[in-house]
Amino acid sequence: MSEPSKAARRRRRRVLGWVLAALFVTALVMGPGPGVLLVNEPRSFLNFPLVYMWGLLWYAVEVLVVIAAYLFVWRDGEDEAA
Amino acid sequence: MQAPDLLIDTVSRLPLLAQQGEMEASLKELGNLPIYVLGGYLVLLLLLGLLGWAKSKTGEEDYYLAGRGQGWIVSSVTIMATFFSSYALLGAPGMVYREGVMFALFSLNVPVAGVCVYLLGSRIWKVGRRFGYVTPGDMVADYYGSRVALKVLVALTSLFYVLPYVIMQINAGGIVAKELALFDTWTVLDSWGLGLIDAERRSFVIGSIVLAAITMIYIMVGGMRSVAWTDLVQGAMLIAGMLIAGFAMFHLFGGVGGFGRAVSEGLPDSSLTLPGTTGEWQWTLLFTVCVLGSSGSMVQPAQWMRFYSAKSVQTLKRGAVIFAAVLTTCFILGVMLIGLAGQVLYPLTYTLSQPIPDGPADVALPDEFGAVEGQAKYRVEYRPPTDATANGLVSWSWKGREGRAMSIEDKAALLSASDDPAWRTAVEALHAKTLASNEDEGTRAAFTAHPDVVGGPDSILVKIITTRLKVLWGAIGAVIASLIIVAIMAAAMSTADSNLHALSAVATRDIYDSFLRPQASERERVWVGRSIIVAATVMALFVVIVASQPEMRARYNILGMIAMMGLLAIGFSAQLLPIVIDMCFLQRGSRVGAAVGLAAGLLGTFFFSTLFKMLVEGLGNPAGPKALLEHINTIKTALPMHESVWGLALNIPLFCWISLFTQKPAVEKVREYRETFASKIGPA
Repeated sequence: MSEPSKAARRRRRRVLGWVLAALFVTALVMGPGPGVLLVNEPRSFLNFPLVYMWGLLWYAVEVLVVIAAYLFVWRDGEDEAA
Repeated sequence: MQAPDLLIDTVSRLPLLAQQGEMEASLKELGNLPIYVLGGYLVLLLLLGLLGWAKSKTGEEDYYLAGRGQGWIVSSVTIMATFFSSYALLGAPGMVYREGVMFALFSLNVPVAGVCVYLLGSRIWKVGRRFGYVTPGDMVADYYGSRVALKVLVALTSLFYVLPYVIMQINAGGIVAKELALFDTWTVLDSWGLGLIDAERRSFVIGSIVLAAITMIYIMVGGMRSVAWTDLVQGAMLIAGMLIAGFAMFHLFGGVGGFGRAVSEGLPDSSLTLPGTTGEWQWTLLFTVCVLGSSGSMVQPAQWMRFYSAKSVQTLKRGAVIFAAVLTTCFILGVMLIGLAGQVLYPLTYTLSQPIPDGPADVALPDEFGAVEGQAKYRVEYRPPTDATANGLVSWSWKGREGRAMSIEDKAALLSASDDPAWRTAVEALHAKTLASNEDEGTRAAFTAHPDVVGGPDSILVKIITTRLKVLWGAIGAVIASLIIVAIMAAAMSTADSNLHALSAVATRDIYDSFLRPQASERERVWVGRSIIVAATVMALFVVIVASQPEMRARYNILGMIAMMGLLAIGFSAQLLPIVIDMCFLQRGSRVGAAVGLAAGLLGTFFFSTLFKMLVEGLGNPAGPKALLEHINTIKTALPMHESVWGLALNIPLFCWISLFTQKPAVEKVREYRETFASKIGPA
């Protein structure tokens, strides 16, 4: 693989890394952070308490971000074990 | 809000509950099965301990880090099992039972810990491999060039983390044994118990001793290898136990929809929203616990040493993703559901009270307000004034969602109970309180666990699985209930073993070897480490047994809530975060800055924790400390946050400021670290 393409891939990974980091922080702020106040009512959604469903949504986001990071970002040549 | 009658009707139509509520299987119906399963499990642990010993080689690196060769499966599970603790199966559902739905959001801290496994763990692994570090103190002292101050402070931090955590795990073993009445007939030990074993606490004390003794033995025999292998068994049991427990709740309520409906319609508003039943869990507290609790627990000594012992960075990378995906699921879709089901099956009892200045000596309460523990919806109690207090007290209690609002008829009946003007004024005020919403500060009701949940909120999981699973799934249910009970023991042991093992490494390498006997041989150090495991276990066990005595419990309640103790321990370890981030990413701090920041952080955490409150009360409330405590309480009320935040609020600014004008680590060391982080290091 040519050097420029390697550099481009590294750049793309870095951008993706920042996007995922931003998503992860957003999930934290919205889930257990101040974002929960947006839904802080004793109502239900799809039969479940609204606050619990809100937590499930951000749980899914957090886990997907970590999986995406594992697949596409955490793979700098520096940490690939032989 | 749903009308109470409609609610009762909805719950009574839940398919399995309606049939099973009346025929709740008693704990005794599980017979001796839990004892057999537990016995088999404990024998397996001892065998794994022996196997670890047979595979071990002489030397510290093998005893403490299993030769730095743990593969991704063992590494992932041992990191998870160390993180789990009894908090996962007792504390977390207990907190959801106590506080309601909002505490289920605490599950969102787990992916943060998963990210830390990779981001911090991979860098700690690299320098650990290159420079041969065994303990956290090795790395901190070597990087900053501090052979004394930082090494001692990091060792102290480890001690502050490990001891509460080990105490908490041993206590959990006692709780499980007590709930199962495992050793109630073992009277033969009473005469050896130095008065510490009585009929009521027999199972608790002996259960604690059994858990502590077996854990101690297999760590001493096989070191890290045994700890990791037993963690593998324990971790698998935990994951299965947490997920099955959640699945069982869906089944118990007739499916996912039935469960959701029962919870949505059965819980009072205070349990469906923030700040929870107690009103303590503002979003600031929940958020800071989620962010700092998880990251703090990833730099505690046992986890730090697991990073060293991994085979490669790839191992930790896989561990991180497994940790984040599997463990979070186990919490939010598993064990947290138990707490929610608990509030439906065993509603909390709420009480609103109104003082009556110069209340009447006697009030003839109508019969319908008499003592009510059974089916009645509410009860009223009146406590007349005594010589010591000028005020009487009238209280209105109810269970779960029903009965908060006092009806006009109830109020009229209460008013007619006495002609005393003070009584009438108090009843009017109490009536107004019962009509006010939960969110209205000052009208939040006090609460206690359901009378059937005798062990308090932390025992809700044991209560539900032991009474419901056999009814639900017959003989298989009894086996699963037994396995989940053993999983609780596994959770406690997997954390206790890791922490005791880490403490022995820290005390031996960072204290004994550094200051007391630098000339000690490797063999001698391993034996000193084993002795420390014995000493720490005995000390923790002693604290558990003494603190569980009724008079101690009434005075200090050290063992009060498993979850709160865990969060306090994490508050101390979180003070290592600035140092770890500096070493791994920034390389801007200085030795003096790190030491002063860490010391200030530990002190800050202590002052804002319940330990300081207990100390002040224990000292008889002297004026100075009491005034300080009042100031701290004012700050905590205005800004409810995890203790670690207050520690870090001192730690980080001091670390940064002092580092500006004090000597940085050696340039050569910083260069070596940067090179190591940028390099590609394969497995040994």
